[in-house]
Amino acid sequence: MIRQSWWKYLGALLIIYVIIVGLLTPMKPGVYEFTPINTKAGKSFTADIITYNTHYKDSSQLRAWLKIDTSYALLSSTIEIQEVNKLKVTFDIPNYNPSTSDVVIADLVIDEKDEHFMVLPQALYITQDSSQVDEGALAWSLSNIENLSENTDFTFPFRWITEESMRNLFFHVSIWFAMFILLIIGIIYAIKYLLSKDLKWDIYSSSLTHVAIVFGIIGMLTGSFWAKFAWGQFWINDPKLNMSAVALLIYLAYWVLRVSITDQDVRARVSAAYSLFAFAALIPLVFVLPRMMDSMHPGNGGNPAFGKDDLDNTMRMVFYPAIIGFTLLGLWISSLYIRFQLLWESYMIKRSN
Amino acid sequence: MQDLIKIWSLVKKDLTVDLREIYAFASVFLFVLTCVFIVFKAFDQISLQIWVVTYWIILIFVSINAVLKSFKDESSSSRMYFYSILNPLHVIVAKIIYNFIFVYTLSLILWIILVFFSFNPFESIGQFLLILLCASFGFSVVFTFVSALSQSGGNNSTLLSILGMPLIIPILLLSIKLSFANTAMLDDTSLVTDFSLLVGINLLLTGICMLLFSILWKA
Repeated sequence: MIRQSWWKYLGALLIIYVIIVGLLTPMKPGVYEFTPINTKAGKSFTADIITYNTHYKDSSQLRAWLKIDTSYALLSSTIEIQEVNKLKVTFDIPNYNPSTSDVVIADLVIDEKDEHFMVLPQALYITQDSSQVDEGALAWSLSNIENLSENTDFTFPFRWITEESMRNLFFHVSIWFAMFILLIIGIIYAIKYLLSKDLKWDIYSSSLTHVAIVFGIIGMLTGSFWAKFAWGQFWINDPKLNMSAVALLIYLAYWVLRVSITDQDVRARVSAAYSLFAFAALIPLVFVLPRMMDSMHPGNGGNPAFGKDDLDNTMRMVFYPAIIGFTLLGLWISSLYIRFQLLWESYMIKRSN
Repeated sequence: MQDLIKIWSLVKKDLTVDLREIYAFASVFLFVLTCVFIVFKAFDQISLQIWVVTYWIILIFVSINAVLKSFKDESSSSRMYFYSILNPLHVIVAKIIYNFIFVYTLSLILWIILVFFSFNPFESIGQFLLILLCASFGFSVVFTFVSALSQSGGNNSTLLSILGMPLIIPILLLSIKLSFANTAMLDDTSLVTDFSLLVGINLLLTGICMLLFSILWKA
């Protein structure tokens, strides 16, 4: 397997595919900015909307709604196109909200005939002084959201806040996946070494773990750039980030351990035992603890995951190949490292003879 | 039953050796006293948060110092002798139990000294003692294992702190969170889950430690 080359070509191909398709596929149009964000019931309300990836020309092609829950919608009264990506939309907000609470949150839906429709969730907060649910419900159900135009081209969905940085999903997340797969294979070889005491398996295990450490650092850096874009800082005090930093520390200690011991057999035995212990400590650190605390990072707890809402089928078509591609790339790098070390070993033996 | 007797005699042996050379206890005790005094002098007013964090930081360094020596004093000839008559499982379990008792006692002493110099921040003493029990067991498992590792790696004491520190972080963070909950600084709604997680991590690490020690021991 290690000398066969088909899987290396496959990995390279997949990564080229991920880079080309992942970076060049356009995004669907979306709402970039919506101001102001609150108003009162019973007033005429004008919003400035900046959109992304749109080419507006004719306002008769355009429709906009405010939507509350799934059943209530309000059609805009006028739409004025200022630039290809700038709109002024006026809504006549009814006197009462279709709800007894003081505030309702409305979503914004915009549709243009030639382009894909777009949604901005939780765009507008509408306050009311007194409530008349029946009257409000009647006023809010005069129009229906229908005949939305859909663009069937191969495009990625537009998500507020992440915007174009969404493409980082193919790199940041897949590299972490690949890291874990490499670590697990490394652990298997460590066990194999401990059972057989054959130094060859130690070389396998340590090479895989070292490449996994490098992948972990790269995954952390790509994540940092994403955090800079979405949260404004490279690093924030967040359980998920901190736990992954600790995980990286544990594995850097593994590296220090290997460097500090010169005797080959001792090094192999100690580092294999340490890597098993470290992996056991890693499981609660990465998989259990962060899920129990609130976190800004997507995944269980805090933010919704990149799951059923954010990851649509077009992104899956790049995301899954990216995981396989980066895993194969990692295996390729470690196989080179393994072969180099085996050669070095035999060279040293020959020289000492 | 036979196993228990053997383990107990090993624990007793460690205790006798340490009691005979009382300097080990004395130096650790002095270390605790000095640390607390420095903290007491450095902060004029100790807030709840600082109290808890300081407590755990001191405890972690104290327990590293305490457990560090667990495999250090054994000469290679006595090691050969033990190897020929003992089961590695008994050795590691005895070491863990002995270190656990040692660290737990130290943590209690540290707590009493800190209370003496400042105040007691905890609402429920019983719960705090329980947290200490779980935490010192975890400390003892991790540091004993790392100490065994560093012994087979040539008894390098820097190695111990480098390897031990990152491994202890999950246990330490959980303990700090639990003790914060006990000071009423924050409402912890997941007390039971946190406790069971701490116990779970401890058991997992103990299992792996016992498994791997026999491999390290044989060499």
